[in-house]
Amino acid sequence: MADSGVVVPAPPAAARPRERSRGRLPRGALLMAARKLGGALLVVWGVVTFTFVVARVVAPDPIGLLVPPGATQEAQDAVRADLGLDSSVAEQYVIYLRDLITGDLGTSFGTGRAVTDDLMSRLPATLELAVPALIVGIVLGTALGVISAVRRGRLLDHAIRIVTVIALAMPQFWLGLVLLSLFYVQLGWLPGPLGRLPVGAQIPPEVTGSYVIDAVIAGQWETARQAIDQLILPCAVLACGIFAPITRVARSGMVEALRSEYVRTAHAYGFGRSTVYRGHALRNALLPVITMIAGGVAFAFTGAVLVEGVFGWPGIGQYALTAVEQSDFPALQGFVLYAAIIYVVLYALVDLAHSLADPRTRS
Amino acid sequence: MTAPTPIPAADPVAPPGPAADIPAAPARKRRLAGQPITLLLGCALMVLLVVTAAVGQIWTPFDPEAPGVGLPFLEPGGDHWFGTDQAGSDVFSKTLAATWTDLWLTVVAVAIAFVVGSVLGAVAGYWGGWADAVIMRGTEILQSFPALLLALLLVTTLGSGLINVIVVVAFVGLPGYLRLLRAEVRARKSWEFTDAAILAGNSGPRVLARHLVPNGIMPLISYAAVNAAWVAIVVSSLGFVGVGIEPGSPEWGSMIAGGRTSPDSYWISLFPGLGILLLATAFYLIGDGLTDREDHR
Amino acid sequence: MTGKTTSAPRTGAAPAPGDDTGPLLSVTGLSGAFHTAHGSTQVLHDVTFDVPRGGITAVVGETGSGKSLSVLTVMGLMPPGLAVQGSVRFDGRELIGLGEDGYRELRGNQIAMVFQDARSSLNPVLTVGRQLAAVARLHRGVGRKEAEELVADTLARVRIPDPRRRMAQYPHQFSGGMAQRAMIAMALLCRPRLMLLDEPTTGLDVTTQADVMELVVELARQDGLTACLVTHDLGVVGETCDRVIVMRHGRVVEEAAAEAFFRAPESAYARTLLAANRIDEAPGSPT
Repeated sequence: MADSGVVVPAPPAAARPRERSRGRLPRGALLMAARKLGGALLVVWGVVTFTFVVARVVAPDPIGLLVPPGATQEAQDAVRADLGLDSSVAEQYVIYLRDLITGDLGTSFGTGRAVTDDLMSRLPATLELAVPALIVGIVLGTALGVISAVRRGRLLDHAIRIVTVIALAMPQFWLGLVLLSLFYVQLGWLPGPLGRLPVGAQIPPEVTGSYVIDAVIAGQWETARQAIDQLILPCAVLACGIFAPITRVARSGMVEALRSEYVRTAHAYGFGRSTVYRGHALRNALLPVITMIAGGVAFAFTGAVLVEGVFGWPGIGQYALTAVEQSDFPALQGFVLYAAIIYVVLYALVDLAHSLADPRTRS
Repeated sequence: MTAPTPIPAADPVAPPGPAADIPAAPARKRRLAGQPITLLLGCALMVLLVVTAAVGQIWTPFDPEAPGVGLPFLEPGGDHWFGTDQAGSDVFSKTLAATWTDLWLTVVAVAIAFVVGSVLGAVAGYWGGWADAVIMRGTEILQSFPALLLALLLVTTLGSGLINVIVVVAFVGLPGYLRLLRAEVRARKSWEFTDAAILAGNSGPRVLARHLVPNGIMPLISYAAVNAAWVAIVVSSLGFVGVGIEPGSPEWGSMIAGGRTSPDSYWISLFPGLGILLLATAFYLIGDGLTDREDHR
Repeated sequence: MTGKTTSAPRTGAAPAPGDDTGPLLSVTGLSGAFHTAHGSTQVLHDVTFDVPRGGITAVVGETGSGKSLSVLTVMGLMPPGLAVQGSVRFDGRELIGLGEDGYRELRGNQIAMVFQDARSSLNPVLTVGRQLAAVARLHRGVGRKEAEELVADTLARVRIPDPRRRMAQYPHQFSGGMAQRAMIAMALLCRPRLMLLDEPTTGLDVTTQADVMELVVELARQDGLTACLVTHDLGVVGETCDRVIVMRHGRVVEEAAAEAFFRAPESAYARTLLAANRIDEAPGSPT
């Protein structure tokens, strides 16, 4: 069987005469975009369905977890009916999908609140942790990778490579505990794993959702300092997981670029080292880094389950962890959907970024 | 099985050369019998771990699973080299015994993912068509889950236990192998030697099994090493969350979780974590080394 | 020669008046070796040759004869790890041992190089126009606008049709022959005294090869350039060059005027080379 149907070649856009094609999308590109959107929706549907099957078909009946021990049959049935668990699986699935389309993710077994509300209320915490960690991770990762490549084979390169491998091999939850035991228990320099603010601290009036920024806006300097103290360790652990893969890709991209013939040309025409590195090598070297950055974002927004868990950080990751532990399927499904959407959006952005940064992907 | 330590600290830089401002070429990472240093280091570390695991199976200073072999929360030193935990178990004995568990769990899970992923990838790459479409969509969906959470979800649903952990971790790691081998097979399918093999009277599956797969397997091996590092971390993460293998049996992740409730006794978590770190580092170094070696060809 | 004139270079600079009449480039006793932990491999043995002012000198030899390496060494662009000894004099000035800055001052301004495989010698993520304009600005000291004018003119000179449109394109949108013309334009933009061409026609189809070589010869004559052509194609040499240097296994085996060389090559190796090349060229060779 040939590859028929797998790749539908777009009409040869290049064949048609076009005016200066700066930034204009040809029809072929629109078709591509439509196909990609279709694929993305398919993936989201697949993720949701897979989770549904695991949660409602494979998993044991959750009712035991939801009613007090020793509840009567009537009481159990009442809870069941209340949660919509009394109809057939097929019906439940249809209802679930229907609700999903209207933006209703159901009610969490654990919190008794709408899953959408739960997720929205926890998003700011995740963002407050993820954004600084991403900034540190991306900047550090790219810089170390580029330095490592430029100093290839030297001591600094070896040092960076060793640090990177260790950072990759480090279980994040363990790193969190080790740092806590050092900086909180032993040295007492930083606060314990109690979430975003110490107990009893004044929560600033919400403006952006970030405690640090909100506290600054409200002029509560002490609160801002406390919030920053709480952030340092989890942020460091998260950044440690983000920078390492970026460093590796940035290094190999830069090594390849520096070996390339176009860099030799630039040298041959008398351009200085820094011009060659910045103007010629870097841009090519960073193309593969884009994908890695997307991976880092996905990780910070969805994968930092254990980091949030270890630091008692009330974000979305901790929510998902609790949902798994309590077999809170509506909550889990809500999280999985959130994660799938983030993945799909990120990879669409990666495609877009590549087509902006690499002219070869455009034609 | 002795541990050779082929890692002299010496770093042969710049052998004597004629006067010139260009430093003589360092034989990039191809020292010591022509192998990349990363590979040698990784292998040395792995041998060390395997020996440790084997020793832990034969001998430990105390019964690793017995509580109360010492007072609880003893600091490292004396009879208890790594101290004791909250139940008075010997942390050193437990860490030693757990080496075996984590090591073989990782290896078995990786082996399963490798084999199943390769078969599916070969099928998808060789026959294409709807089988390919279905398999590829499936992997895409699988890869849109945060991997650790998917593993957590599946183990929680299926229930804890050795077999379930292995199956789940293998399943979650599968897409990588699948995609790699699919790409390799597709790339080689159009090569002349494929046509030649078919013309020589070989059947499609035979060509696939005898020529396409063996020729495309090398990248998978270095990927497997890197994936093994990830698997080791995920296995211990499951243990840490408390959904790993049977509770009570020594495993690094669950040992770390045990230390969480007594933050003053850092040693309960520290040593098992170092075990994971070493294991994952060994795998990463081996993976990097294999990739380096490929690049030199 | 860092002229600031911006007129179209068609009228061309006169051949460098030069205070001395010696060769423009003179390589003497050049040796080069790669040193590794496993030992040394010597790749250049006491290489000695001259490139006289004006005219085109060819360096010919098989793959691995050290011809490209010798020329790259002139530019200070030898691969990392190649340690060289000996003397390379450009216009009487010693280049071996020149630091980074010394070479930079030389590259482009005095010597420009055209590489094999032009398409990968251009940066894939920058437009051709932008890359050429950067060279023009660096070596002609002109502003952005003027640089663009210069580039367009020069592209027209190397017979690239519709230069303005081409300038907005990326290297992958160029054919091999077009890309090589663009690289030649890059060299011309610098108005160098010496132009080094490292296998400029390898990988191009036969007709394009002929076109490109014809262009090189014509432009070199017009601008009074000295050119040094590295090639393994004796057919090209016979039609275009004034002087031939034959290299083998990192050694110079013959150095002669082209006419004399093709009439009666001195070394046995040159004779085999010529014989082989004639045979190769026989079937499809025009004239």
